[in-house]
Amino acid sequence: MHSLFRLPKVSCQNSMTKILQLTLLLLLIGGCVKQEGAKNTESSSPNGATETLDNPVAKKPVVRIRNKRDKQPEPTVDMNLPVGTPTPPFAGSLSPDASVKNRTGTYGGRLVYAILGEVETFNPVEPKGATDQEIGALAFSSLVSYNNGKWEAEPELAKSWEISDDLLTWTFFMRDGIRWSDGEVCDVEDALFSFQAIFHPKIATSIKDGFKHPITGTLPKVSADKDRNALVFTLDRIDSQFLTHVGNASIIPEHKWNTHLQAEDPTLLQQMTSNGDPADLIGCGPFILKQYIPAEKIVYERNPYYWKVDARQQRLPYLDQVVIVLVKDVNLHWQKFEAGELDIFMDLPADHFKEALAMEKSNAADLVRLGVSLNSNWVCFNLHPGKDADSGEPFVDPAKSYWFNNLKFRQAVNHAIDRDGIKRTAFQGRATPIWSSITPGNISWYHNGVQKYPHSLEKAGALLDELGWIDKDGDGIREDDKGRKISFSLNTNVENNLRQQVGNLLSKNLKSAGLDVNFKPIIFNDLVTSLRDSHKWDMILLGWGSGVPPDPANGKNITLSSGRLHAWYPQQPEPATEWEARIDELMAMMDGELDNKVRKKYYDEVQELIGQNIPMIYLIAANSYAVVQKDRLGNLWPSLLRPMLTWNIESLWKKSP
Amino acid sequence: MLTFSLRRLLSIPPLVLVVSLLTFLLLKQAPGDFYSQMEADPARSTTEVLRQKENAGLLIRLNRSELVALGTFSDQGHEWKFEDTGEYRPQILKDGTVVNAKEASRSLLKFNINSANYQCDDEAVVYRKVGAIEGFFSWLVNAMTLDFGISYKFNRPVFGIIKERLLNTLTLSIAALLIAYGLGIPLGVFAAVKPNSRLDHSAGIIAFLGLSIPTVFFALLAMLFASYTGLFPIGDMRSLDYDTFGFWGKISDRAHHLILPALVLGTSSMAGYMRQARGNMIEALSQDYVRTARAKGVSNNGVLFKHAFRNAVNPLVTLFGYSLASLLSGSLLVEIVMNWPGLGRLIFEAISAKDEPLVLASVLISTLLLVFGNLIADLLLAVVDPRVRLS
Repeated sequence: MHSLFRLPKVSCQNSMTKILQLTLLLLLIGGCVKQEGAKNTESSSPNGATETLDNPVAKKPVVRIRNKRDKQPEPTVDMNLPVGTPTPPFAGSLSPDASVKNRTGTYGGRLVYAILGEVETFNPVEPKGATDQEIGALAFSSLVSYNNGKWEAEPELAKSWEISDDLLTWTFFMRDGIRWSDGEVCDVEDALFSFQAIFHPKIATSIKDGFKHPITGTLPKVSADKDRNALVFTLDRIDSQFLTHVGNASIIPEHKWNTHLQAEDPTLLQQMTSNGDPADLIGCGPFILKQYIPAEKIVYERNPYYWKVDARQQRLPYLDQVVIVLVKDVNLHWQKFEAGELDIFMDLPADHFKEALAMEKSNAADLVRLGVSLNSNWVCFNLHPGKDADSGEPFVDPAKSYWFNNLKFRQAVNHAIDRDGIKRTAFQGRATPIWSSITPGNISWYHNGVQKYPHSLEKAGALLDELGWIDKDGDGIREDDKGRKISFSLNTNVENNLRQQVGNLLSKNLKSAGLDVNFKPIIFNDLVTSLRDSHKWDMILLGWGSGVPPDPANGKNITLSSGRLHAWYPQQPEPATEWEARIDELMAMMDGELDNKVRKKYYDEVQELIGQNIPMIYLIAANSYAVVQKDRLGNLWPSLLRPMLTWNIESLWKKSP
Repeated sequence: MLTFSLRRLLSIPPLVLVVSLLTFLLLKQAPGDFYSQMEADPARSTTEVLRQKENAGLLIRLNRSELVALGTFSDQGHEWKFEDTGEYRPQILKDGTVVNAKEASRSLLKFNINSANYQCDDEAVVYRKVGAIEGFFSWLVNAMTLDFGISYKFNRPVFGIIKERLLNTLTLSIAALLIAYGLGIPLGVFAAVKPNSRLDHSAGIIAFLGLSIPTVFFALLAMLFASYTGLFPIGDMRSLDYDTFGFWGKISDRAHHLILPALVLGTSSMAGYMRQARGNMIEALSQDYVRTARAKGVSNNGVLFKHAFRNAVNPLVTLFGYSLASLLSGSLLVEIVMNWPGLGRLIFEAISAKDEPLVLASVLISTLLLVFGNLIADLLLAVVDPRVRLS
């Protein structure tokens, strides 16, 4: 065995030098590639100017307001486009109620894009995440849909709806002559069946929760009016979000599933699992599932019975096929796009921004600037007053609790944070400081009147001095009025690199204000557990995503004092403070008010209350980008709302199949 | 040999039991569970999350009589009691007054009585948390009947999911194994025959490269190579149009996709085999019997392959047994970087998401492969080397 290493010394050194040379060569190649990319970015065009670094001189906080938003125009109509031949062809007759889209395009071709990770279920009744929901929308439709381009609800399977004067009865009129992808007629029976499935007590789905009465938990009554082909809901409260809830519910075929909705043990969900058997997925969406190979790809084909037509009375969709490639690694995802294998790339990560810019410069692709993302990053202090039931120890150390609960302390921390510095360093200038959960990207709900805390170490210092929390022993760290060193920990999830950078910058900021922060990234599960169960944390850095539509009512789990994700003190038995009680009240008022202008006024007040009391310190929102291969797709109407490029997939067409 | 094999086989059940118990306890020990991600999603209600956990067997729903049997208990300074009034939902009494379920679940989302943990959702459904040992035994009882549970993530029986990926991973790792052995052993043998020759030195360089470059880095380089030259596909196991190809088209498409990942995986393990083969061979060649054989005029090839090689190959046979065990999990990194739809990727995702049934099933399979791999190696060794007796 020892002969393994019995190599003569000289030859060993020889081979080592060769290896060294080789490695150096490899590193050089790597370096060259990178530099090339960098060079491309520097030769900036007027367009690229927004992406280059800002002037590093500290400025007053400037919030980019909506008129500067990179607006995405609605696609135009060209009546002279060739029509092409759809393969597979359409079947059945056109419904007299067919919905007309003001678009034109050419039939044929396929759209290829990739998603990271794996589809968990194709079952539209119990989608497990945003990805499942987005993929489900290819094959299933609901009564109402959301137009991501215009940011408003629009009729889908229901051609119209009306609300009674007392705002408690909603009637949805179904389109006549719509057919399922197997050719059967889709009518109000199917709609009724779908809602019976969702409201079934034994079926657990997040779609149901929106319909529940916030206090009693009762569900609306639903019935079918066959004469008018209408579905009637009777509510026991006014619900401003009712259209959204109805829009979340996909309509499933009654003729296929009616034997699977037993009262005691419904087998509906077991039957519609992620096996991806195309025969199980009969829907009213623009495409039907043709093939699913786990970890490889999902292939959708045109639904021959789809019920929308374009400006020339041609039936939709234009695309013959949609292929979704399942990718695990984000770098591979980008390489596949760069090599032209994928047509579109949504949610461009910061790591690949330069490459995307280079592709735009070389005219290979269009970089779509979508504006400020709706996802916010924030930090928050643990304000939980409770005690551990087993040990009797308080969740938060009394000294820390004393600091955290002091509003002036939180104001000082807010002033100490250099959002522009974070923007420059961690986000390379491609982000916007925020002061509320609603980012400037959210044109419907953004409120400029939220109190801002510009970066100023003097102000932060003055606030802390005022409290008598001064550095007495000269080690650069302040002590509170009782002589305790102000030192606490900051956690974030280790999986997110960007967030770790932000955390490092934050702790530097706070250290220069004389607060000793011990930054420790931990695994996500750990973080969630401590946030929810053990409550043993001091300060955390996390982010919120946003749903579609981006209505703040979707965030009740966060805003309400009873909410599970009311991060600073979750699931309060009673609202802990007066302002939290007021927020609960305002959120309830928002639910009972249908006029969005009034609702916005209520939510502005919520944002102001959070801005004044700073239970959470909102930091920054990244800019959002997507990339599209040059001249491949027609009728693209990019939107900040997910799925950014494919939400109008029925009217997308392939220019060069 | 038969008794030896039987003895080995008999040792499997206790081994599997211990391995699965340890896996289970380790999984439970780490914070959070599969549903932590769901709980951190503002769009999910507590009711739904708890219902999902019940379906997964992490919680057990209390029926009416059990609920009443809880009696009066105190939680955070309040007295609580559930009463069956014969209605759809039980009545909840807080300090003697009736409260609705939504109100109650604010306080009772988590409570414990006599160190058993309970959770109450906003529909007044109460669940009891299943403890680690209890959970393990219920899993074990089901496993006895060959029911290894349903994946939390995919909602399907775990072996169905594993089966889908198994063949893909086997293709890749067997191809890599062929490359590793097919290149490693001859190179090692030839290097040993002429030590310090040019062949030996270049083989040494390859070996050091293979041993020192991490597989991930190598895989990334391969993907960069593919994307810059366009000679090879960028990841995946087959092209998007695979189904439209003819029989030979399909085979060549798969082979085209297989080359890079198999090379990456094969060369990194080839180095080890090569060094091993070289070392063994040099040692064998310096033995007395080789000198004797040469002295008695046996041809050079005869000396090399009849005498030296047969003695040098034994440790490689043992190594082969171990490589059987790594067939399923050894290609994890390559699978992730090169988008190969294999088992390693699945298991990795399952572990990071804490999809317990899937993790347990895959650990079981790996354990069995290791045991059988060793058994096969030992049996092979007995075949190859007449000095080894198994009894």
